[in-house]
Formats: sequence, structure tokens, C-alpha cells
Amino acid sequence: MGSTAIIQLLLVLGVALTVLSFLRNRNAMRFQAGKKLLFALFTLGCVASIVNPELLTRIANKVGVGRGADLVLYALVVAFAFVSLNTYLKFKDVEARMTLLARRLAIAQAVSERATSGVATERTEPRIPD
Amino acid sequence: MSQSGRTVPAGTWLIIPVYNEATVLAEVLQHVLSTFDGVICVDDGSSDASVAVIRGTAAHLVSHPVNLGQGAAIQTGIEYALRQPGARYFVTFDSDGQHRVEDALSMLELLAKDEVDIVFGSRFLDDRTKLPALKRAVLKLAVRYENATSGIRLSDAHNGLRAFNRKVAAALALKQSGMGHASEIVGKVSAGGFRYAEVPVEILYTQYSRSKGQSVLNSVNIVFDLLFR
Repeated sequence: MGSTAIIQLLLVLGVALTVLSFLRNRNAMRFQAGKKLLFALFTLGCVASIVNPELLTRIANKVGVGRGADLVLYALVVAFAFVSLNTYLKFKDVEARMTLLARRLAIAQAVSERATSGVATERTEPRIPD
Repeated sequence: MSQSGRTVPAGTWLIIPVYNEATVLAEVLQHVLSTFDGVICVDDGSSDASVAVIRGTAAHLVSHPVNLGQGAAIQTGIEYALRQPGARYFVTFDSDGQHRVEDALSMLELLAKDEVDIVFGSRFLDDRTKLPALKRAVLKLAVRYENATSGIRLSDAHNGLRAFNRKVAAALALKQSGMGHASEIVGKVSAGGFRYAEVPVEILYTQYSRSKGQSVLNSVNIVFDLLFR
């Protein structure tokens, strides 16, 4: 029972750290570097588990999981949460940039229209379909 | 020309975010333009006749090429208004006819005394506004949350009617493109140490504004947006 608690602790910590790291120093250089280090670690783990298939099961047993495959599944769930949040925030960032771009365009167009026509006209602009 | 003897302070600009409101927009604009000279409509990529309606009036039109959200539209309107010569006061006003010109005028009257930098409209300071019980409960909860997190005491949250001066307009720089901008404004007012006040306003819940208005469920989206900004 004592070793089952280890994996539970690790997984809860993993989820908590994922959310916390995104709430806090998201754009910090350290966080970006951390992502690359995690990826390097992941690659090394892959190679190690291919070369020595028993390794995963041994680690799994140490933290209280029956099979190595189960351990991989649990880690995958946490990793998926991490990737999802990362993608969501990336999209938000792109959206924010697009907003600035569209705003500048809209204001520039409004100013030039006002300057040339002086008053409202009947003309309608071609519009990018949604 | 103004209603009830109140005058509009010089340099006042009304900022109206518009998204697919063609059915009521003409009426709202006609009404608003009979009192205010400076009206800016920010079309947020409407796919209906909203743009044509705005072009048919004296209101300034700023048109987003794609739909970006109400917060983004308000920020665009503020930036456009700040470029207008002599602009001093800014009012955010909804395009669906749920705000009253009268209320905007009383807010501007208070603002023009220069005792506060921003005036928030509140539908909970008197009993004119009739709200469904669930909506009232959710809004009250939002108020409590905002008061607890921002250090500002307000009686209403997410009321679209506000009036503020140049200092606040220049400081807002809204990043919440969606509906999170209301909380963002409160946060910026708190962070900037601006002087604020509330004025009782009436929200006219017509059949139309009810059908277009924010669903109570949208509060889930707002909380999420504010958490992961």
C-alpha cells in the first residue's frame, strides 16, 4: 500500500506542477528551457526503455504500479494535460497578436475613410469571410 | 440638443461595440445621435447589415476585418476616440438598446466635476432593473469575487455602461478580447489607483436584448479566461 501512495503522489504533483507552471512564469526563459530539458529527458527515457525493456517495469514496481505499460499510460495523461494547456496558451498568444494587427488595420482604414469622404457613404467593404 | 435639460460635456465620445445588431441598431443610433455628437461604432466583423446601418448615420465607423470579441472592440473604440481632437470623456454603451441615454448623461455629469476618473453603472443601486433570479445570483457572486480580488467596492459586475476620462482611457489597454474585459477594467482601475464612483442605471431587458445577452453559463468561460491570461 505504501508504494501505491508513491505513484499517487507523483501523479498529483505532476498535474499540480503543470497547472502552476502555466499560471506563473509562462513566458520566462527558464520555463522555455525547462520544456526542452523535459523533452531531452523523455528522449533518453525512450532509448533506455527500448534497450532495456525490463527497466520500465522495475521502476513501475518501485513506485507502486504493477506494469511498466501502466506507468507509461499514467505519465502520458499528465503529459497530455501539459501539451493541451501549452497549445491553448499558444493559440491565445497568436490571437492576441492578430487582435493588435486587426485593430491597427481597422483604425487606419477608419481614419483614411473619414478623411477622404468626410461623411458616411453607401459603399461597403469587401470582407474576409469567417 | 439634450434630454431633460442635461448637457453633454464637450469632448465626449460614445463607444458602441457592434456585432450583428442590424435589427435594433438603427433605432438605437438614431436615439443616441439625437443627444451625442461623438459616436463611434466598432463593428466587430458583423455578417449582417450592421455596417450598412452605421454608414447611413453620422456615427464614426471602425470595422474589424474579423470577429475579435467585445473587449477587443471596446479597446479599438477607445484607441480611435483617443485620436480625436479634444477628446476628454469616454462612454462605453451597448448596441442592443439595453442602456439609457439618460443614465449616460448623469454619469457624465458626475465625471465632469472631476472628482472621479471613472463612473460605473450599477443596476443594483435601485430597484428599477428587473432581473431573473438566477442571473441576479450569478452577478452578485461575480461582484463578491471582484470586490475580494480587486480591492474595489462595487455593487454590480459586468455592467456595460461606464464613463471615464482620458487618464483611464489611456491606461486601460484591454487584453481580454472576450467578455473578461469587464473584470479587467475593474482590475486596471484598482491597480492604477483611479478614483471611481457608481451611479444607479436601469438595464432595459427587452425580448431582443435577452435573446442576445450573455448566458449565465458564459461566466464559466470568463473565469477560465481570467485564470489563464
